Amino acid sequence: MLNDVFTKNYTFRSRKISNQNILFASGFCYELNDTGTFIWENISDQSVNEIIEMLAKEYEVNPEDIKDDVINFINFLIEKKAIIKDE
Amino acid sequence: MLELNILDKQIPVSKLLEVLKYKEDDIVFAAGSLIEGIGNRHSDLDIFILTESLERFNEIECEYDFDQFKVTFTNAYGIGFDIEVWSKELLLEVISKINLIQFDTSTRTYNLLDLPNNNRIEDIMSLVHRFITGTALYNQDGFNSLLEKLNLDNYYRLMVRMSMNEVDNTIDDLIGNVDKKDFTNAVLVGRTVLVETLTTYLFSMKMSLDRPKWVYPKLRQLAETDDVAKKFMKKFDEITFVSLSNEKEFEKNAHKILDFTNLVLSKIEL
Repeated sequence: MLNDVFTKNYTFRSRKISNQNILFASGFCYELNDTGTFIWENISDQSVNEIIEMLAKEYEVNPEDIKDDVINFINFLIEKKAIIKDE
Repeated sequence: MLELNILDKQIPVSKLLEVLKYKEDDIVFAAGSLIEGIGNRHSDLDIFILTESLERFNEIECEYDFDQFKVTFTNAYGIGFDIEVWSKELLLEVISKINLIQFDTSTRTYNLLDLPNNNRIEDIMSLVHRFITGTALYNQDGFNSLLEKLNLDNYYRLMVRMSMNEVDNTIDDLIGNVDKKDFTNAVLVGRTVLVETLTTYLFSMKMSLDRPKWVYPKLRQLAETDDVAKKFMKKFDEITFVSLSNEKEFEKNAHKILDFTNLVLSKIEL
């Protein structure tokens, strides 16, 4: 998983509505928190490991401390078909 | 003597006012691309008369005569003039409706502005655009007093929502064409999506416009002082001004349009 690279499903869009970041597609609507928004904005063309590093740098935390949360969120996006693993 | 500087011409305002049939309590202003500095030699100068009574203009022959406004044309100083006469009361009513919009409701965007009867929203919002970007020629105090009444934040927020609605409607066609693997048409639809996306962005940056043809000149204006606008313009150029010769390139371009559109719109507060 850590070396996997993903592409966004082009039918998913994110919008800022009343100070909330909303990710939506047909039949799907999900509120993203700040870290979720960061991951969504940076997920294309970068490995999961690179995203963890970027996020850790952004929030000045240890990458190991956030690794599981990032992987869980990416698994959620995969399950919802919001991202597709690059071949 | 007060003059309008249009391209390389100096037009005395007093001479211009002589050909207009306004009354003492009317407001006269000039607007359009020439006033905004983005016009060209073929652009017309738009003159607006906001009047207390449209009936005063009944004896004037108008090319277009609608319930709420009249349009006529003339030529002077080598420039074509479009003259639109609107009811001051109507603009006041529209301003009041814009000011009263409650954005935090579930009301659909197009229903937020409950317009007076028989008015097309495009005509009305174009009038508001011309008004806020215009230059008073007669009754400056009346013009300023009306302008001060308008809540500009509400105007721009409304326009962001309206233009984003347009993007969301058109982007579905783009996605549909990508799904169908009709990438040539996807790119064609995508060009419209790009222009609508940048329209939304410009409104979010409090730049007003009322025609797609002004998106690029306005973006170029903004890019002179704003780094994000400069980045968006560069990306727009890379996606738009490119030669596509096979299906793979069309497919890639369609996806670039989707990515760029989603990136720009995700940054805009609704």
